[in-house]
Amino acid sequence: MRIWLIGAGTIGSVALRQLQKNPAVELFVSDPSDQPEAVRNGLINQINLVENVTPINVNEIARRVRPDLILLSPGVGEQGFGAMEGSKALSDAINYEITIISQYPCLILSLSNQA
Amino acid sequence: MTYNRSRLKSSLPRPTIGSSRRNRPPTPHEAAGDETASRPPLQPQRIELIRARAATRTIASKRRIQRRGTPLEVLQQPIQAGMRKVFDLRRLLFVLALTAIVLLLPTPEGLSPVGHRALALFVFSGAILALEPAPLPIAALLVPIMQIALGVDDAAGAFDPFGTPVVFLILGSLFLAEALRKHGLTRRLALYAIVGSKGHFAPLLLGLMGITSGLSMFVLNTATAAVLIPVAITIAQQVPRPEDGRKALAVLILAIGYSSSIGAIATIMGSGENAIASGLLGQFSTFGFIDWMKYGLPIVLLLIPLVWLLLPRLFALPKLTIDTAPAQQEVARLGRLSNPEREILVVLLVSITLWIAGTYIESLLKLPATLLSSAVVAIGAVAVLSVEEIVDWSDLKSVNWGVFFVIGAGLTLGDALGKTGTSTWFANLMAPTLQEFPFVFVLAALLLLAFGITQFMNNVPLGAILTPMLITLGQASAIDPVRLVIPTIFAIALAFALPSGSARMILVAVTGAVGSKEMMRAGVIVGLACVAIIFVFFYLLSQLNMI
Repeated sequence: MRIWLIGAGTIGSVALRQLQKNPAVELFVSDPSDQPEAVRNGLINQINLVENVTPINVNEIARRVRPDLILLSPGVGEQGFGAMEGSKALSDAINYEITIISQYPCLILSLSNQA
Repeated sequence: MTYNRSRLKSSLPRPTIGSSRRNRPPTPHEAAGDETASRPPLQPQRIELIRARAATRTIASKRRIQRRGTPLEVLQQPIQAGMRKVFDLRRLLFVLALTAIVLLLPTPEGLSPVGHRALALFVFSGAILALEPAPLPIAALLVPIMQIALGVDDAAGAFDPFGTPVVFLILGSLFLAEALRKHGLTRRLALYAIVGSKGHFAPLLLGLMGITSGLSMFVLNTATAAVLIPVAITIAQQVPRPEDGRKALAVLILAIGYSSSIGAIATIMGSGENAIASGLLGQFSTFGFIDWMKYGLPIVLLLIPLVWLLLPRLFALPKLTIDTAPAQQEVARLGRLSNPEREILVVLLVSITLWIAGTYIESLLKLPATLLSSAVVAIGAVAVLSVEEIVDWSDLKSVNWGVFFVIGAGLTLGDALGKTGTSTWFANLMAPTLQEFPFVFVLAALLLLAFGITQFMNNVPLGAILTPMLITLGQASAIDPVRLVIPTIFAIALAFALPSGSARMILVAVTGAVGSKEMMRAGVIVGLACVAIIFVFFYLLSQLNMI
């Protein structure tokens, strides 16, 4: 199974730790930063794609990645907006729009997964 | 599912994690150069090529993935506006130095020692809210602390304005905004506007602006803009030509940003500065929800069509028709209104009715005074939304709670200036100068000043600083403070030219869909046109003695 993980920050790292337990899972990781938390903590060596995924480019990238499943981290940091007013609402709205637009199965990771 | 799974599996790239770009051997393509790369390879070459590709599939796949063909680029270079330093010691020292200088100056004639300290508090508040050495809510909380430290008031007096009814009105606004966002009602309304426009860009733009401004009147406007910006991004993808798509996206996103700010003008709860202004005006005379709305709503009804006419022309946008099929599919997928959506609409409509007609119903039914006041109605809405489990407290974690502290700081500052007699002293000082100028001149100067400053400073603290000053100036020049405060607060909302002006414009900027020069140009032109309308409106009202 090939999984495209969008966002390798705090929540993305939690997802990565769990997914890495299954060697059959092929992971493709994208993040707006080339040094996100998952790389800094040594979970992965590098990001496969340094880009902010948006409703505009999600299908174009997905057609090339060809994932069986897309996992979307919900954090504000993953969008690279910082702690400004309305950033959480914008990030959530963009993630929701991505799941609607995506032609591939797409799930938003929950903050409750954080461990 | 629209993709072919078998084709998909057969062409899966290898796992890519952990691969190193540095160690890869050059591909035959690279070794042979671009010319051979463009030709179909011969059979032996082909086998060699397949072997090489197998060895370097990760990188080749990665290159393929990183190839970009999308004409519209958004959210790729988020600005760092929200990522500033959490604490800036130099700025704080500068603020404290300014305050100390005012304190060290001799007490002005006619001002009591406590009034002198209140003047220092005013300088401190203005400087700390403008320079933000700490995050704005924390900076705002330092205002009552400094008030106590300077001996202007005790703790009970300093924190008293933080519990004024208008603060609870904003709480209702936050709950409604979160309910709309959580249950996707804002997005659904936007989809209806897209489908209703039949793909014609002009009515689509007007529909989106109407929804944004309409909701921004009653719920916190930044939340409305945040939800609708991604919808605009999706709409712009349906524009056939890439260049038109880019312009359409810029127009849509700016229109959402502008109309959320303009819509907020209509009511007390639309924005923090409105809450501060109405709270302080309410200390002098009865000034309620309807009193604000009778000036705010006409202005919104004038400004929205103006922006709708101006924006597409500024971007030389041709007549566009957009494919509405995706929006229609989405509306079909969403189906009929869900129960929570219906309940939110009912709560919103009942609240709006009571905000507008509450006082009248109160006297008609001989109900206890203020039972149906705007703050009580807002708290009622909060209670209903919570009891019905439409919104719970955990949903409100990310809400902008800091706005309460900024509003409280503005109100406590105004309160301190009034109690200590500083306002009266300042009024007497300014009276001879101001009485020489006609109202038309004062109005024009204030609007331009407010419009200029608001581009560089967040509008809520600016409202907190300007309102007590304007009330004093009004008293000094024998002009009703309402005549000065309301138009100035309206002009403060027009922070369109720079991201620093408001949270909405930061959201617009982070999308990357509007360049800084485009934002500046459009913001100045549209903003000045709006200022002109506000000026004419209030000048006419003053001539007709309607304000």
